[in-house]
Amino acid sequence: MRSPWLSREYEKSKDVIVTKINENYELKNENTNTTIVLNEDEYQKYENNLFNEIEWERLFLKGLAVDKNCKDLVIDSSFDVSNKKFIKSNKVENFLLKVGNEKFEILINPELGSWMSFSEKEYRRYENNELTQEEWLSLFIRGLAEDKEHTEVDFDFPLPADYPSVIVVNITTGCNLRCKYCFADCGPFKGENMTEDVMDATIDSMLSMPQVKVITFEFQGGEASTNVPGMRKFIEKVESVKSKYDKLVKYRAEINCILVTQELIDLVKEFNVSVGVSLDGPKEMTDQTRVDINGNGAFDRIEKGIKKLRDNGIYIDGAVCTIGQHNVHYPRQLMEYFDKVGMNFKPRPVNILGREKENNLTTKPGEWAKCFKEMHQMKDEIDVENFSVHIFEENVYTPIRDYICLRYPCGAARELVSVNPNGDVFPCDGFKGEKKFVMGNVLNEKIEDMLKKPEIIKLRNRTAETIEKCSKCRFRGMCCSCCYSAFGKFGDIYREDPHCSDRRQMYIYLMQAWIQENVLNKELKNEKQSVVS
Amino acid sequence: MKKMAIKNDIVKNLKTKLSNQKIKISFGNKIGLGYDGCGTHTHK
Repeated sequence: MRSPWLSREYEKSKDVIVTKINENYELKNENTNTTIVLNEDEYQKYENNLFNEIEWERLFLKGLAVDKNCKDLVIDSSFDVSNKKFIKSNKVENFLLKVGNEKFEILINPELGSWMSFSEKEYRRYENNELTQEEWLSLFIRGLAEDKEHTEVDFDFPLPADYPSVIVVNITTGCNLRCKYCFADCGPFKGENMTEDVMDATIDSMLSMPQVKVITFEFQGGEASTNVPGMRKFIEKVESVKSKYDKLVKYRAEINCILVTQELIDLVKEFNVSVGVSLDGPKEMTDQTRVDINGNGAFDRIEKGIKKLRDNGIYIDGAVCTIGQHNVHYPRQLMEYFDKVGMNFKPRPVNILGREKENNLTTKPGEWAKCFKEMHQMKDEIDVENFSVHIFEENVYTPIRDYICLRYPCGAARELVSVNPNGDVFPCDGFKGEKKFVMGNVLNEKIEDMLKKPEIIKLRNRTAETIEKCSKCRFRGMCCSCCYSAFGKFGDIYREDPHCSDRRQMYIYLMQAWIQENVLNKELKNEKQSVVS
Repeated sequence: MKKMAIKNDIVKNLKTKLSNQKIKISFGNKIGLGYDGCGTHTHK
């Protein structure tokens, strides 16, 4: 039985004393008086640190091994695993997974996204209720089995926020590019800058929200860098009033790097504004989509802007790399390009909103999954941080769900809201071109009050159960249909993600990849190591 | 460039409490925030 879910970095406990008794070895923690008996083979694995995560867990949950990263383990003296009456759970599903030439049975809790892989032999033991108490316990703590006597398992992991800590400030709707997939349909000659009354109301609404301690104002547009005076005015207003509130304030700007002026550089440096850029890879890819009003590619100007920022000592946090027909077939070139320019990046498919509806650049079914898999396979070869690899691995391999677009309920009108130059507030910046999703206007009401409206409460509670296809999906605990992407594709936020079939392929692939690396490859390596030692 | 040293299959700071009535597993770290509108993922 193997699983990355809840796995830790284990090591031997200094409190354990080993005694050889006949052919076996007794491990005893003298402080807690707990023991376990290992046979010769098991002991050799223990001694040579060759236990897998489930074998270590068996020791850990008896206080006979420790977690390198967290010493916080409390075992009540009343706890006795041998008395538990574990049974199969009707909340779990199983499916067969092929990894290379091997077959594994996967037991998954669709609600939690927890899973365990079994060899065929192990799975037969599970089916015949022949698992050991320790093996049942490993299933139980992952929500994959139940206790007949109703012992409760409490997963105390951070919950989705109730109040936004990030507000996307669309400081202008004007843009100096006319990207072919722009979801907000922005472009030259469409500019409307944020007025001071909207700035004042937005700042007051966010800073006076008592429930939030850290607020990030993220400038977007249109193109935020076409309204640097507006950004400066906004930030100066925040700075002049923030001492009245007990808040930590941060600033971010998402820019296209076409217009990197001295005014922008000064602003970024003075107020420690973190900067992200939009870039679709090397010139031949970026120039196909990120174009100006005349259809000319913007890559050379973007590259010049990035250089100017860096020459002035400004670090670029990362790049959003929109994936579509212009780059989806070139994962290696993308990885190598971002490695070469020394920039973290997040590839994600084009959303079907705004101008994309005319241009049909988004990926076809299977293309995004193929691109992702190939990038994942290069992750150890090409030393660049690919946030999508990180995000999806985290969701498949752990209970952590801190990426707000890949978790139910998503972060729209929870961690995040977005305000347009006229004061209209949206649940997510993805909706900023869609009037239908206006939550209210900051000139008339507080954001906190907008969150209490019935239609916003409904959106805030958009879980997998509210979406027919997702409610039946075994991967729903590690996934989320992007609300504005679903709206763009289907005209309805209560639909599956437009890239649903790709996502499913990615989850299965990541399970296969983990098993290949940690079960098949490692066992082979351990066998060789055992022979040598 | 050098990427961050993050093992995506390990959760650091998992607190565990075992008793006969309840098994509690909690996450002791501060959660970062990542969302699709920006280029970063401020994790861990």
